[in-house]
Amino acid sequence: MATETDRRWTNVAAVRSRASRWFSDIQEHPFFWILPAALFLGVFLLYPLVEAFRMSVTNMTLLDPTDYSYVWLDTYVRIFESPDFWGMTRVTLIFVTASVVLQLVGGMILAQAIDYGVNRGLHGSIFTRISVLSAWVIPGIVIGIVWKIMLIETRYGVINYIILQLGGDVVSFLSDGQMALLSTIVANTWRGTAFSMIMLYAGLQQVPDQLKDAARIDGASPWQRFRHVTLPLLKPVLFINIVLITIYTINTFDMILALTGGGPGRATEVLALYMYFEAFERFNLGTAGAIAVVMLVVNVFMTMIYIKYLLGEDEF
Amino acid sequence: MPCDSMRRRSVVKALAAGGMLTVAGCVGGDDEEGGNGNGGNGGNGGNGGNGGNGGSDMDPSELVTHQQFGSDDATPLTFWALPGSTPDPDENPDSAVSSEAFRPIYEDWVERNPDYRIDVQYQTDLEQMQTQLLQATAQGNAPDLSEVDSFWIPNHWDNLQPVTEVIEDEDDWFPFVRDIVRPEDEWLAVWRNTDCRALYYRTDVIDEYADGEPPATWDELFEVGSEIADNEDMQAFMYNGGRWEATTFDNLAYFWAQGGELVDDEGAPVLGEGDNYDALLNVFEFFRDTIDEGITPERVVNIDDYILLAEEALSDNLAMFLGGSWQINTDIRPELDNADELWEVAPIPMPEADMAATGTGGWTYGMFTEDENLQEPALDFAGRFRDPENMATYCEVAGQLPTKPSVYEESDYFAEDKYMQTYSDLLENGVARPGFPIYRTISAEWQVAAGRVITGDSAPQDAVDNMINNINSEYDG
Amino acid sequence: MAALDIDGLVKRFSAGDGEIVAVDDVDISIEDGDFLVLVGPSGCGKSTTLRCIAGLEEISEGDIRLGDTSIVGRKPMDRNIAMVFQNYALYPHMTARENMSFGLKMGTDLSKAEIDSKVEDVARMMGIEDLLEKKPRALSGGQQQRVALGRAIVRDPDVFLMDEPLSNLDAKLRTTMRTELQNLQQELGVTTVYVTHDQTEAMTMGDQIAILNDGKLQQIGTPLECYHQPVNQFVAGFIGAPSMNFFDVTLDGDSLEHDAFSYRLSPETLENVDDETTRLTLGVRPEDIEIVDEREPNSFRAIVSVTEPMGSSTHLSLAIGDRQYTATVPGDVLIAPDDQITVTFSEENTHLFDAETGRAVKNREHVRPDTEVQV
Repeated sequence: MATETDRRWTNVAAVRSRASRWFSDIQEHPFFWILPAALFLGVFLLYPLVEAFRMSVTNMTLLDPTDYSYVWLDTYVRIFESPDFWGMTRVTLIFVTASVVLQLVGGMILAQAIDYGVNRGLHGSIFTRISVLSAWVIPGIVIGIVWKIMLIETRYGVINYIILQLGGDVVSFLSDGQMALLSTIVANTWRGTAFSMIMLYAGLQQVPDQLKDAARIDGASPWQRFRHVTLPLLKPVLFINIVLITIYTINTFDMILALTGGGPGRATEVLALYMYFEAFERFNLGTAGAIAVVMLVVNVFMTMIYIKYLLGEDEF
Repeated sequence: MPCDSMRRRSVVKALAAGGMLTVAGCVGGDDEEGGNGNGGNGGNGGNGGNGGNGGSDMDPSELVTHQQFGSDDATPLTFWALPGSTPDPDENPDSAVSSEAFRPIYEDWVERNPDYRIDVQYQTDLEQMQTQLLQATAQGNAPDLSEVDSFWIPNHWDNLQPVTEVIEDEDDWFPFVRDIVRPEDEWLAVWRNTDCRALYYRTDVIDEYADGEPPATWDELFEVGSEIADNEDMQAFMYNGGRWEATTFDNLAYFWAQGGELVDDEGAPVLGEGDNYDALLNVFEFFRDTIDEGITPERVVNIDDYILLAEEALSDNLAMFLGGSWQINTDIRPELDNADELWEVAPIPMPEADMAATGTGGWTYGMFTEDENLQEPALDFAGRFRDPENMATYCEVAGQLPTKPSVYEESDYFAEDKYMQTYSDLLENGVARPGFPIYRTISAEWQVAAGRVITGDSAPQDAVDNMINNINSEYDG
Repeated sequence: MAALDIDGLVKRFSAGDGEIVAVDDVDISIEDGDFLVLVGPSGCGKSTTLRCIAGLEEISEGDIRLGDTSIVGRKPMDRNIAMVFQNYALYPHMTARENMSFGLKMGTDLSKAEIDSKVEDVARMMGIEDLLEKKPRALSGGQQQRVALGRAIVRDPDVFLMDEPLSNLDAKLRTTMRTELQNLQQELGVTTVYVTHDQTEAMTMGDQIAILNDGKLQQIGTPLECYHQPVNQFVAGFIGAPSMNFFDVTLDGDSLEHDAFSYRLSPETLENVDDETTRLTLGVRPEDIEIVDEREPNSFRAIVSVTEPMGSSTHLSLAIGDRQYTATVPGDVLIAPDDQITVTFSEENTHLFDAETGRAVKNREHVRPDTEVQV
């Protein structure tokens, strides 16, 4: 009787200790803690990515996505052999570079202005922030339409009306290829500057006032203070900002779709828009997948370049 | 009204941005314009939330509701429709179409088919509807009955069930209808309404510079156009030239009129071959000439909505434009008291006087069910719209064109309205777009090439060659 | 090198709809080569005063003169001053050398070689020549402090302004740096304005200390003047650690009546007290409280609640009446908490303040403070 009880106790204890060991294994093994995030990333990020790769080597169409065959690199070869693809790549390059530079400069100027205004308790800095921000939260499609209305090329267009009143001639904002690209860049800058403004304004808050004071005492002019003190300290924020807006701009198509539809000709058709057209207008999932992969490579490549040049020096 | 069209298109675009990833802003957009205000009404999708219609002994008017035509205990048929086809005026911005056209027709059907009912699934998104219909038929779960864009018909030739028995007088349909819905012996859809493209012109201007005779050929167009450009503070001639479907659709008339063919019977592109190539090049040289001769402003590359043409016209800024048949009723008459005096329509000017063509679109009813029990009520439903009176009623209210020539003689409205009579003549030479998958690429490349030629970015021949290359490469790839 | 005169300095900030007067009519004169400590609780306006001198803030009223010339309206650079900041304010992305040469690069036409030699000279003086190529992140707090000082010295300014430069250092280093700073200042002979909230620093470092409260100058004088002859209760309480004990008393005839004791005053003292003033504050420094026999006149009982032996002395917390007071007694006096003791203080060591205005009625010696400021 006693031995039996003992044995039962021993068993219970063994089970319990095994259970607790199992439990502590789970607790201590990082795998289990990473699992939820890994699953999430896998399902929502990795899987679509892999699917895009897979699609890019097939001739899949949206009309009947189950009926396809593998064509491997044929699609890529076809894309790369198309002169229009390189034309669109060039358009994308100009659009992205100009947008990023203008958004950065504009964002920096606005951030500095708001910083100045807030420090001096000026009224209107909140108004400025809100109005600039509103440009950012408006959907790209709407921005495209708004700009399109503003840029109408008759005397009834808002901007052309003003130009005419000032004694100028009607400007072909959208029907001239180069002007159309310029208009697209301006509209995109108008739209995206707020994001850079917020990032850089937050970055400016991280720059200790004492450093700016020290630089003033050291006799640095406002530009020198910005160049030698503020800017170097903003580097990490600048880096994130540039990477994000580059990626964001490369992937922009909604605003262009509404503003120019990619035209005239393909003068404003960026790769993202081309991909959109291929996938959802012409239903060529294979081609769209291949463009997506090319864009992914470009995005990764750009990010690596930025890492090298912006964060290349040791961080302080 | 102009704002309405603008907004409609904008809403479609907004949906695209909303991550629905399904709407293309352009392709099929003309149908949407030509339709009865179907596109982008939004919000009516799905088949849920139906309160039910009670027993079969009820009054037909109570049995026809937004979601269901017929009684709860009847045998159901599934039906895909555009939101604008609802019988419930409260669900339709264009409420007269519901109350005056659809409701009586649906009630009539319910009365004739008490043992059946139709469950409606509204398709709020045109592009999605097209894809879904293709996918559904490929997977064998198509709806029993559906509204089908005439443009999609060739894609479904193998799936659509014959509706020949409700067609009746086979000769009382415009030729383009037969071309599309009767590929072989059987009729595969009932083409409810159509539209076409025509030359809109200002009568006062044409009176002054061409003795009231609108230009019938390109030469005449350039002649009178130059006169107008030189002497009037207005543009002579404009057309769709932006990155959207109508740039292809409208201007294809020139190509078709020369006997050009885009694809062969298999759906393979042939527009770059032999005479087709010459016809195509002619069209793009014509684009270039309209700019060079100064009769058309370069900004037509921005025209990506019919309403933009109407706006130019209404602001006394334009003498002639290539527009859609519905525009007289949707865009011009509501804005001008003297519309009927000031604006006329005529056939599209062509390279030669003996050529004629106009692009036609519109909606049909197609039957997909292979169940013989369901085919009978489905056929009866489609047949409702073959009835000339029903067709006339619907087309009048919706601003559409009937597909049967007889309607233009028998219906008071269509027989007496001068514009409708002109359209009736034009439709004799109507051509529908080939609904093969490659058409989408053809259309996109056409738009790009048109933009390049109009802006002078490419010479017509280079643009055309590039276009053909891209199309062939896409087709072969 | 020059004397610095601050004359009727007023600095107002707009805040919301109203204004905040941060510095209110402050007059300070510092002789050439003197070390002045501006001290006061936080928010008293001492840093603002310093920033006004530096030119980082525009002044609202008054004048600031360096030597004979007013520097109001000049840019910071043109005032020939150097400033050392609380958190060193070293540029984190620059090496120590770059930090020190930055001012010379921006503000002078010196060649790179001249700048380098100046920087190296100063670095040698500060003992940081080995650290010149390191970035601030790689330096200890004390090393950063030296670089920050070096950056100020290399500019060869007329005036050093120091804004709590030692407050980020640990206690031991702070003591060392304190001495070092003083030596440095004496060696260089540069007029220095030093801001601190720590009265110990003020007492130990300044030739003169200026005590500010609520934007107003309370007293300016040598450390000992301020310690022994505070012009008011604020200065008396602020200077000295542990701080002065204050007893709320009323004058009744010739004795001060407190809840726990009466203290009889001498006629000489009574002469100084206004007849109408009956509510007074009696101030006694902790070290002036003596433990005595209970028969001693003017003595009273106190209960020891806490003892803090410091070695050479012991701080006692005494419960007198219903409040706690501090006494400092020699370290060899053995007292335990809860002991009852009898204490007193000699009249000549007491201070008396008008309870209403806080103004000193009687100070430790029968000398009216000669630097009086309106309170």
